[in-house]
Amino acid sequence: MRVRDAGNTVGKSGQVKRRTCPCLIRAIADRGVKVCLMPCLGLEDAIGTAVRQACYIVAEELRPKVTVLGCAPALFVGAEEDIIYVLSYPVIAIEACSYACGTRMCRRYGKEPNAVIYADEFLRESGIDLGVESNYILGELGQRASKLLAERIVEEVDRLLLSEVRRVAKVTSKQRAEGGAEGG
Amino acid sequence: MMQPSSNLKVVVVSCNGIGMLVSTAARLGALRAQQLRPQNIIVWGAATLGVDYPKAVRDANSYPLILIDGCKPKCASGVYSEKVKDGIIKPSDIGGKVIGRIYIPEVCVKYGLSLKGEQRSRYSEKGMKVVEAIASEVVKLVDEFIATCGK
Repeated sequence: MRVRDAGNTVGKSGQVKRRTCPCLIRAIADRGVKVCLMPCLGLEDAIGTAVRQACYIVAEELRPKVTVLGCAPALFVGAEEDIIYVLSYPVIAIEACSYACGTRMCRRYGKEPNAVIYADEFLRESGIDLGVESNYILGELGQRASKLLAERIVEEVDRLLLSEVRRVAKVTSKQRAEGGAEGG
Repeated sequence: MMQPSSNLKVVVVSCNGIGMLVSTAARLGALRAQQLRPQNIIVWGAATLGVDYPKAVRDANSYPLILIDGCKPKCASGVYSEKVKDGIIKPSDIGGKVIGRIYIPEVCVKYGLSLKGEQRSRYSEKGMKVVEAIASEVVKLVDEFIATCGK
């Protein structure tokens, strides 16, 4: 299966930012393929708030039908919905520091995240320092950080969605081939 | 409310979920209470304590705790119970013991408030009233604890 991307843009550093065609995302949503976002939900610093808000932007605005939010505290008390998300879908852990709470939550259920984004490193590379931001309600800088992070998360979401579609297609075609061989 | 001068500390372990509308109220309520009593309140998310984040575990063992649960699974209480069972939190006379529990649906009933129609990413004035109510309940518990210790 060939997958086409449209509307690619070139970032400041010269790297090509792949923007996935919206109709492709709609088609993927129709197939029920989703990605689980497992963010750091730390309360002590603004970066935790920025990560949380970035996940809301992705799940509610940018990729609403193809993402679910993994709730770390709910996983602790065995909430079925969240366990199913982690075990059934590819997972992106979005970490605020090297302690990597999102990754640790996945491992608790025997799953290694399919992708990890270190928000602290990403924001540092983007020239954003949230040191002066409030962890309560984000100011202008925090909101800008959330938007940038959301775009970064979307890149990973799209990559994992396409990879998951390819994987499912491969499994389906193999099953068909085996079924055909048995039938013939 | 007058701010007590004591330096006694209480750890607020709050639901820090993301999926439910009420988790925003829990998080903001805890942080608002910290703004009101900066000398007395330390805030940690339930999941942060759950993954044994060293500073959170140290604080939970050093000071008394107030737990804020947002919804039915009561994650903050669940995490606390698990940590006590695993011996990560060792309740003593000084730290690790729960001095208060706040369940947000009960706070909403008590104050006649609701989160209906709110967005989890951004609360309007209506949602912020719930946040203020939670913060005032936390502060009340903290002030009572400080007053009791002073006797």
